[in-house]
Amino acid sequence: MGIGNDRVSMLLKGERVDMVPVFPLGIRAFAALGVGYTMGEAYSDGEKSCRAELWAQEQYGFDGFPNFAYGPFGAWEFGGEIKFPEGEFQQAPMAVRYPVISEEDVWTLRVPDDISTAGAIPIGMAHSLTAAAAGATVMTPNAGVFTTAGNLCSVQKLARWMIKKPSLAHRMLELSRDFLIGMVQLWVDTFGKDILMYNAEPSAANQVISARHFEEFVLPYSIEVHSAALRMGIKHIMTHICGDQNLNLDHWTKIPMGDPGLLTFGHEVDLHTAIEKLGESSVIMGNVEPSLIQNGHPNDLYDACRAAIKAGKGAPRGFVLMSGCGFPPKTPPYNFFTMVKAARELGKL
Amino acid sequence: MASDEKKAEILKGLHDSVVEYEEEKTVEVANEAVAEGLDAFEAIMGGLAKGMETVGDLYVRQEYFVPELLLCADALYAGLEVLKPHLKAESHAEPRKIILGVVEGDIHDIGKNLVKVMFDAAGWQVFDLGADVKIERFAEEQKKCGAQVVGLSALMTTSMLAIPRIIKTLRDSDSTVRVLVGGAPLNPDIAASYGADGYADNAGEAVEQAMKMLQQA
Repeated sequence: MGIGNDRVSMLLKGERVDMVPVFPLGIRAFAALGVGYTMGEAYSDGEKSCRAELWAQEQYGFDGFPNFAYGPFGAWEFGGEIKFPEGEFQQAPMAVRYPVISEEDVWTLRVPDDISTAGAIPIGMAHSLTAAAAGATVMTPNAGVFTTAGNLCSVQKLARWMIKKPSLAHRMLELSRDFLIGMVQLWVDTFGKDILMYNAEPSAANQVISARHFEEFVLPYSIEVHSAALRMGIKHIMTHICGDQNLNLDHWTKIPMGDPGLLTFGHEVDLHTAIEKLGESSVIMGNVEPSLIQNGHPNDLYDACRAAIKAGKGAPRGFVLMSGCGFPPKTPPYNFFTMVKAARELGKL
Repeated sequence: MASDEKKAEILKGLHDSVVEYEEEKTVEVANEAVAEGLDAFEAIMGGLAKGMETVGDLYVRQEYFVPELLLCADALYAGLEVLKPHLKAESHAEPRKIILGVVEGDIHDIGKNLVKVMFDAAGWQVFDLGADVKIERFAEEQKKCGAQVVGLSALMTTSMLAIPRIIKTLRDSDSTVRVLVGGAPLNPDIAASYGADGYADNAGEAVEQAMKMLQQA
């Protein structure tokens, strides 16, 4: 077990790579459909979802490592309920009942006694065990502290409390922080310290909250979770800075990411800006618009990859071509191949 | 009957209390409007709705975000609850109607809820179908209520694929209906390729886009 040998892992080890790697973020639903599994199995069966990712990696020849994360992470783990995707148009689990409904619930909610059996943790663990057995780099499930807090009570409730009843919002974040630190510890205890912690923060995007609220409600707790992971011996943290976070970028520079970190950006953030602010300490990844990957003409997609590679290629700690958010499960296979082709043809180093 | 000076003071009070998301203050001023005999329609449109217009501008300029908008909406609805029972039947024309919904397969409804607030504030009659709405239901509901506009929201790249199907069922049912779309994976080009009549980048722009679509109809 340990850090793998793909090009992204080589960048983490400070090794030279021959070309810009391609790492499609959150590809397991696309991968599962590609091998005949259902969308639901991409989330409900850790072993199948990881195998599908590894097979997709073999088929398309991309870099990176399997990743188990999903939007409403935290809801089920704290006693709420989620529904796995089914039907033609669903692509990810949905929270159907939050663990916190009333203000009173905030003060009675507790971090699960046994994190290893909470909600989707056993599924994530099965996913990581499969990755480790295949020699791939292991990564924790999503440890985004603000997004997880929103999944305990709903983002709308958390948002209102941030202004009107901040003590309730802070309590949600404390619970989220303690749970995530415990989860990362479980992964370290199981796989050792040569793993990555993963963090995605879609709910912290400026489409949702201000930089001022980021500073008060995201920054301190993220520093605590990241610092705890680094104290456990984890060397690299991969963070998906989801959506439009242009107003938050200066705050992100204050959060320790390891040496180097891995930072992935949405198409809303200019890669030059990302490199300028965060490229000295982290590998920069991004940021092809998911709608274009799914709906675009291959020529337009190739052009978008060209622009991303041109902007990112000179990043001091390295650049990885990636989707700007979760890889669209209904992407035409040729479009994904186009991304790999663009990196091979335009990303030689 | 309130003096012009008092009326202006009340309308400003309604506007400011919505913008400053002071729910209790909004109720207080709305009650004052009733007590002073102010026309409820004028109080709503000249006070509460104007306040939400300002809030929409602040959101577009990234001075307000979702938390502030939600609390402004709470203040707006609290004020509406006081004033609506006092509306005179003849005091306003038949409102424009819009159906709103998050498409099948998607439950991300924050954006749709904010859009609803903006249409409510602008005096539209809103038929909110909620989230994860089956494709056929939009046309069924449009037939029932005769809405001039249908607003569709999607946050996922998979659920957005329901949009062209919904638009087709709507067009098959009523060729005059206008369709407005929005949500993270969409943009004006995709909206046009799906056959939508308009696209709103955020809640603050939605009412303006809907009005433009109706003018072009």
